[in-house]
Amino acid sequence: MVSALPMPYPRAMTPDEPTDEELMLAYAGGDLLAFETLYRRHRGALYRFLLRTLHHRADADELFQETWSRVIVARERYRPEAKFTTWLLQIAHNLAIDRFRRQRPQASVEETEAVLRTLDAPEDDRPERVLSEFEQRRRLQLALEDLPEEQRIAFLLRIENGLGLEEIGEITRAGRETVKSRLRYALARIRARMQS
Amino acid sequence: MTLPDDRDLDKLLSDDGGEWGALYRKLSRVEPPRRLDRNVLGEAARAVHGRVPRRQRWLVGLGSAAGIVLAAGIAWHVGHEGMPPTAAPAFETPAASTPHRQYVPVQTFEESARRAAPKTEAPASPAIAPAPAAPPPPAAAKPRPPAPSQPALAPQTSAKLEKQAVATPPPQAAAANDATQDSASKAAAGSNAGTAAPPRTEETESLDVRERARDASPEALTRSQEIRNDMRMPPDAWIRRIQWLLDEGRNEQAIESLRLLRRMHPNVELPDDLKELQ
Repeated sequence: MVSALPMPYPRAMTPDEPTDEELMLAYAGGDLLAFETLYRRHRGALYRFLLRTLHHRADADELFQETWSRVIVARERYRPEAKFTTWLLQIAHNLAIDRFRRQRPQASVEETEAVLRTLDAPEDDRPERVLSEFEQRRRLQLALEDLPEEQRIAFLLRIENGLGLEEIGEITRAGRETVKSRLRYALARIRARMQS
Repeated sequence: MTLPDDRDLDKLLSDDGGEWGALYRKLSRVEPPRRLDRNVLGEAARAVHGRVPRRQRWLVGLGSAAGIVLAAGIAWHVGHEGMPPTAAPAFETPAASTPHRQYVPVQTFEESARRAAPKTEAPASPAIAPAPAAPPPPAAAKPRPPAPSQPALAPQTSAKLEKQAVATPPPQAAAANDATQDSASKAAAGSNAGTAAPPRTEETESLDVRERARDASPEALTRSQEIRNDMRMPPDAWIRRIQWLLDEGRNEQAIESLRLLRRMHPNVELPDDLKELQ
């Protein structure tokens, strides 16, 4: 098992390191170096979240830049009561949802259920048991692309950004049980894809 | 269909994501291209030095185009003023054909943006402490002494950052290039000193609006339900709510809500950013 998380958000910070919220306040006061630090902390995870949510590089590039633009424009309205990562991802999520709405209609719950009824996922199977590493990566990538948007976003917010159920719910404006349900469905789909 | 039970979910929710985390970490760790780094950091630098933020650029472009069209229209109209009355369209009102009409000069969006710019840099509320006279910090790429014009947290933050900068110098030179410009608005940017311990301001009230909206919608209100909730707000709170929607990137909903606001409160005075949105 790999011990280091890819997720930057729940990372432990040394006492010397300023928090995200401190950095954002400092930037609002004109400290550009604070913004650069904040940006370096979150650029990778935010970009991967957008890229894997939208699975289109040009869209990810555009929304990545737009997300940071919103942060920059709203810097003086930011208050540390709002956790920076939640705020940042909420902006990115809303932009992504706007993009989805313009592009195509969202899959209905019924459609999702219909697809899931065709799946079978034995509980004890380990997805990495039989597949080569390359094949595992390929299948996971495809599985992520095939997930309905809401499930994909919930899964990525957890696995890429390290958020808990409450934070995912806050960003996606869904209740805790709804988030759990989306994650369960996402896992079922991914597992089925890994075994297909 | 067999859905995974909560053990599978628990693995995902464990600290390292369990087998799912291990699987996900096998994917490549894609990073944003350097071009985006340059753009974002450049924009961040320009913003604190008083230029028009990128978000408003499309408004500026649109405003310029609208200004040109309007100016051309007026010029065309003036050109036709000398024509005999029979040449005027039948539906033209008498006032419109008055020869001594006063024309208001066309104001482009650049001008409005320029006028609005100091406002965006102004203190968020009267309760915020005024800016000290000392100049704001110099270019970001260099290690700097703590600037007195920083907010209460900033000296401490800068000190921490300087330590980090020694270990890992920031690679982005583009932002630093922009950091020396427009010193006048630096002072304005610094005027937010004291935001670390915010009193109750419009912004905190705006957060309250958001929280109230959330409290009312634990299970994801639909967009139309949210807009219906907006309609019950007093105009001031409604305006803040629309601004918040814009900040959150929910443009379509903000525009829709603004349209309703205008319909329900036609006489309400809109802030500049919402006037531009119309």
